[in-house]
Amino acid sequence: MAEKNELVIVREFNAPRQLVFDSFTKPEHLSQWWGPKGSSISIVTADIQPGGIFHYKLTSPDNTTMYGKFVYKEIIRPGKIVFVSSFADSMGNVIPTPFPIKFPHEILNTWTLTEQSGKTTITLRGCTDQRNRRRARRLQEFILVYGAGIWRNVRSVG
Amino acid sequence: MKPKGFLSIFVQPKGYIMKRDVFQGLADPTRREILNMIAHKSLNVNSVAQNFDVSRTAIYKHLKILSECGLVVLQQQGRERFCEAKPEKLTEVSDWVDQYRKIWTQRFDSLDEYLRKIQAEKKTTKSKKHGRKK
Repeated sequence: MAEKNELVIVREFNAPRQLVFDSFTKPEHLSQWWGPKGSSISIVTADIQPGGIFHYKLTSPDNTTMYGKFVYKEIIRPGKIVFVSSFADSMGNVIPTPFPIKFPHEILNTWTLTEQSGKTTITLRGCTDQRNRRRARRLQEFILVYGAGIWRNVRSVG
Repeated sequence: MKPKGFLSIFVQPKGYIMKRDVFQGLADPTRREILNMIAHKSLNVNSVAQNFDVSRTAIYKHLKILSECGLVVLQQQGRERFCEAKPEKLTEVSDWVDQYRKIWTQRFDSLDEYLRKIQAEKKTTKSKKHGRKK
């Protein structure tokens, strides 16, 4: 079961695990598909190993640019990748989301890859830092105690 | 030209700019109690305060915080001030999860497409080689 304020996405790919893993950990692969549709990506830094970073620039079809960054915590080929994702500036400093929404500055992502009969399943867990998790737990408790019936507009927290 | 498409994964909630965030509003048990009290119907400040042992000033402070984070709207009606709950504000907290799900679903779609493409290319190369051998 998902922890509160944690996002879990499970997705199956018709490809061997090694290839799926490489597609996310080899810059030549990653630059081919990462980023919103229609945008192009150029790599600033690709040091994909524990402690290393992947820093990239995104250019949208209307020429808006922004930067994103992954900081790798753990990479175990071909089964696990743990990294912190965020928006960044051109120097690679973490910046708040460049959109007017509430969005955590940094998200911890864990990819777990498993293979069965040539198909690979990625289980992605995304969560915010401890502080946000504690806060989210409080919110969850509140909603549980006071009931969805009262706070009808409240959707699930995670 | 679809700049909108590029940014469409981010949906701007109403009234984004707040002095305090919702978490702060909910951090205190008294404030949660207040919210619960006024969830069904608006009450005036005095009626809210009567339900608590703490001073009216203290309750007023809580209401101020609640209104600053957008969970409560205080409205003057004649000589009384009414407190109205705004539960919509709570959804903002869960928004990142929704946004993030959207982003990753799109990314995984792209990855899926990419994997299909490169595997198909591989097969073509293989069969070409095979053909040459024949």
